Amino acid sequence: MDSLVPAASRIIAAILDPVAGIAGDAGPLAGMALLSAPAGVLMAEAFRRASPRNLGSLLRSALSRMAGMVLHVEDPVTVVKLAFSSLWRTLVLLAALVPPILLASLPFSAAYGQIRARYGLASPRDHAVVTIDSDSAVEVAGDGVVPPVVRGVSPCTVSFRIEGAGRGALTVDGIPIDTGSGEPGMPLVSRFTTARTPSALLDPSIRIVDGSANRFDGRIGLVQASYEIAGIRAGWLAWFVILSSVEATAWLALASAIRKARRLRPCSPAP
Amino acid sequence: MRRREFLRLAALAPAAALAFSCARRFRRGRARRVILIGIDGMDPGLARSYMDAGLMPNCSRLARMGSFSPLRTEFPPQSPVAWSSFITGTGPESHGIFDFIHRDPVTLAPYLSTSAVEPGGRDLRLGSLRLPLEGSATRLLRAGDPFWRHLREDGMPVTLMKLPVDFPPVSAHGARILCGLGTPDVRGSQGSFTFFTDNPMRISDDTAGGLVIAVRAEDGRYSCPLDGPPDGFRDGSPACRTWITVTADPVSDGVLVETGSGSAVLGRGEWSGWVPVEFGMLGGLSKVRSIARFHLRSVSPHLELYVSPLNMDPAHPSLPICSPRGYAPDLAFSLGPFHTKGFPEDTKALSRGVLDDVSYLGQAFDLYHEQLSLMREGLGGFDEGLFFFYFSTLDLNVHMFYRDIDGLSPTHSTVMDGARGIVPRLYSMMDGAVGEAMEAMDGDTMLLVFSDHGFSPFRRGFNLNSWLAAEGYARLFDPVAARGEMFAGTDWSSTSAYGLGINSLYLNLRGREEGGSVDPAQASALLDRIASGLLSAVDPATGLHPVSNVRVLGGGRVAGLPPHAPDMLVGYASGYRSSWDTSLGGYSEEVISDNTDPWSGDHCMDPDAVPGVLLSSMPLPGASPALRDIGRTACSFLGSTTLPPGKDLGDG
Repeated sequence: MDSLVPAASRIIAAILDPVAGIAGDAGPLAGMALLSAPAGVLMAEAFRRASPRNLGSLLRSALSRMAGMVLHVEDPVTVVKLAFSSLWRTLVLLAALVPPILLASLPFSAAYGQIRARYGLASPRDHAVVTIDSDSAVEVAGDGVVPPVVRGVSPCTVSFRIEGAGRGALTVDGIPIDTGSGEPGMPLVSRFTTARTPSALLDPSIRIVDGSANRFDGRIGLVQASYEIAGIRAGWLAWFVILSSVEATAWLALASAIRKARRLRPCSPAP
Repeated sequence: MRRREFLRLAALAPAAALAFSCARRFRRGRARRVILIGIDGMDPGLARSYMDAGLMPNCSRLARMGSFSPLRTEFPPQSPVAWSSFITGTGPESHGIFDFIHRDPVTLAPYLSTSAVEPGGRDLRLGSLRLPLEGSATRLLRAGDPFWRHLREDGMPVTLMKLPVDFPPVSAHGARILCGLGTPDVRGSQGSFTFFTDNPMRISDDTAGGLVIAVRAEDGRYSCPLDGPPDGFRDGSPACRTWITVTADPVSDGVLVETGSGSAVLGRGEWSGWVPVEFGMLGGLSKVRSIARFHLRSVSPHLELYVSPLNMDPAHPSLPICSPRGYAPDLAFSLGPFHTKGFPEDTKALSRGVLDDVSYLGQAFDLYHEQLSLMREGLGGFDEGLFFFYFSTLDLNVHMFYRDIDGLSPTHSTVMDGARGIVPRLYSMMDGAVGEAMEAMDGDTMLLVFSDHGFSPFRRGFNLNSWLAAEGYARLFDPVAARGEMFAGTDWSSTSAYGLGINSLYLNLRGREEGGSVDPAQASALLDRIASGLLSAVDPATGLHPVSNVRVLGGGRVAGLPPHAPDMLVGYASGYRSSWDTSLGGYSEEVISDNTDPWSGDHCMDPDAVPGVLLSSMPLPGASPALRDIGRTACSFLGSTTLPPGKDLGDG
C-alpha cells in the first residue's frame, strides 16, 4: 500500500465509517451529531471518573471566599485575607481539574481529527490548489490535474489545480495519492507527506505516503466548512463543541437519573 | 361561557384582529408580489432594435404582456442622481445628489457625492500608535425617505439586492438590503487596481485608476507589495500592506499566487476566482478581510499580473454593506464569495491599457454570472412583497464598447476581434436575466424592468473650464501651467464661474466660495448669459452644438438648495460630454477634442437624449412615465396604505 493511513486512525475510521455512511443521507449535521455523541459521552465519563470527589466542595470553597470579599468590602484587612485565600483555593481547584481535563482531551483529540476530515473541510467552489514541497522535482499526473503545472526553482515546489478535491486519484512520482472518495461523511485529504508526523496518527485527512525515494510534502487547498442551524451559522468546530457538550450533558443527566433510580429500588424481601 | 373559555377567546381576539387587518391590507393591492429589475444603462432605442432582431425574446414577450416605453430620467442623467430619484421619488433638489462629484464650496475640494467617512473624535496616542476612543463613521449623503418605508410600515417583506446609492444602508426600515453602486473597495476608493510587472515599458507613475508596481524576481519568485485600507491605528493613517508571493514558471507559462490567506494557480490569460487577502492592524489584533481576483497577462519575457480592486469580503465585511448585518455573510455562505464593490467592472484598467478588451470582458462575464446567481438566490426565497435587483452589466460595459456600434467613434477601429458584436450580446445576456425573473412570476406578480438612463455616443469632449476661460468667465495666470491640474493657475479674483463634476457648473459666488468674486445679486443674470453662450457654442470640427440643454438652479431660481448644489446643470448633446479634465477642475489646450478613451458611450448629457426604458408585465396606462414614479407605482400595486411621492403609473 503506497498511501498509508496510520493504524490508530485506521482503527477509529473503521468504527466511524459505517456510522458516517448511515448518517450520510441525513446531511452533514446529522452525521456530525452522530459522531460527536461517543466523543461527548466519553469526555463526560472521563471527566466524571477522573474528577476528585470533593470537586464540588473545592468550587464552593473558592466561590465562598469571593462572596466573603463582597460582604466584607468595608474591612480591608479581611478583604485582603480573603483575596489570598480565594487565590489559593482557586489554584487548588484548577490543579484538581487538570487530570480530568487531560483524560477528557483524549476522546476529544480522537474525535477532532475524524470530524474535521469528514465534516470540517470542503472543496472550494472552483479548483483546489495543490502545492508540493520536495527535495527535488516531482512528477505529477492524474485526470483531475488542470494545467499549468507551475514549478518553483528554489525552493523546489510544484503547484497545480485539481478538479473537485476528494473525487479522484492524483499521482506524484508514480505513486497514487488517494484524495478521498467524496462520499458524504468520508474523510477528505488535505495533506500528504512522506514524513511520519504525529498529527497523522489521529487525523485521516493526513496521508502518509510510502515507497518514494523522493521526500515531499503536499497540501490541498481545502476550505473550512460552516453550517447553519435554526438561522445561526457557525464554523464546524463550534457546532462540534456545542453538539458534543449537549450530548455529554444529556448523558450525565441520564446516568445520574439511572444511578438514583438504582439507589431507590426497593430491596427484595428477605427470604 | 366558562371563565376559562372567555379568557381564551379574549386572548385570541387581538391576534385574530391583527391577522384580519393584515389580510385586508394585502388583499387590497393589485399584486401580491412586485419584482423590480433595474438594468443600469439599458437604452430604449438599442433594446427596441435588438428586440426587433429577435435577440431579446423575453423582453419582447414582456412588452406584449404589458408595456414597453421610454422612461424619463433625471437632469443630470447620472446614475447616482437617477437612482436616488428612484429611491425617494423626488428630484436632486430634494435628495441632494446632483452629480457623481460634489465640492466643498470653501476649499473647492471634490468629494464623492453619495457617502463620506467622518473621522472619529478623540484618540489616545502612544508614540506613532493611535487608539481611537471614538470610531469613525460612514455617512450616507443622500437625503429623503426611501419608498420602501411605506411598505415596511404595512409589514410587507422587502428585499433590495445590489441597491444603488444606499451605502451605508442606514434607512433600511427593516428591509433586507445588499448595497450596490456607491459601495467602496477596502481602500475606500470606488475601485483601484494593482498591476505587478517587471516590464520597464509598462511602469509608470500615473495613479489614475490604480497602481502599476515594479517588481523583481529572485529565483523565479516575486515578492509583491499590495496596499490595502488605511491603518487608522497609526499616525497619518498609512496604507496597510501585505506581501503576495508569485512563483513564475516560464516553461508552463503559469504562476502560483500566494496571498497568505489563499492561493491561486493561473495560466497566461486566465482569471482566478476570488482569493482572500487579509490586512492586519495593531500587530494582527485587528484584521480587514478582502477578496481579489488575479489575471495573468504574461509570464515571459516579463511578468504582468493584474490584481482587481480589493472588494470587501462579503462573509466578513469591514464596513456595513448590508442590512441586517448577517445578510451578506448569509449570501456568501450560500453562494461563495461575490463582488461587493459598487462599480464591479474595472473600466479604469481597460482605459489604462492594463487589461485588453478580451481580458476585460472575461471579468465582465464572470461578474454578470455572479449577479445572476445573486438574483436567483433572492428570487428563490421571495414569496410576497417587493423584490428589487440591480444589474451593472449594461452600463459599464456599454460605456467601454459603444465604440463597436458607433462607426463615428474616434476609437471605433480599436475594438479587438474577440470583442466585436459585444453590445448586442450583452443585451441578449440581460434578456436572459429578464427571462429568469419572468419564470419567478405567477398570476399575482407584477414585474417591472427598467433603467435609469439610456446611452449616446461620446465622441467629443467639451472642456467646460477651458470654454469659460475662452469666453472670459475664468482667468488664468498661466494657461500652460493650468493644463490637467485642478484649477492650477486660476486667478479667482477675476473668475466668475468654474466647472467641476460631469454636468455641474458653479459660480464663484461671494460669501459662498472662499475667493468669491460674483455679487449674489448679479448671479441670475450671469447664469443666463453663460447659459445662452453654452447653448450657442459650436464645435468647429463638426459644426454641431455641443450643448443642447441647461438647467439653471442658482441665482434664486430654485429655493432651498443645499450649499453644495451646482448653479447650473449642463446637458450635452448626443455625441458630446464634458471632457475628462473638466470633472476634476482641469483645463486643456482645446475646448473641444476627440475622446480617445475606450470609454466611448455615455449618458451624462441632455436627459432628452438618453431616456431610460420601462417594460412591465401589466399594462401601465399612466402617460410619460418617469424613473421617480417607479417606487410609488410598486407601493400602489402592493396596496400600501400610504404612498411615497411620484405618480402611480397604474392610474390612467
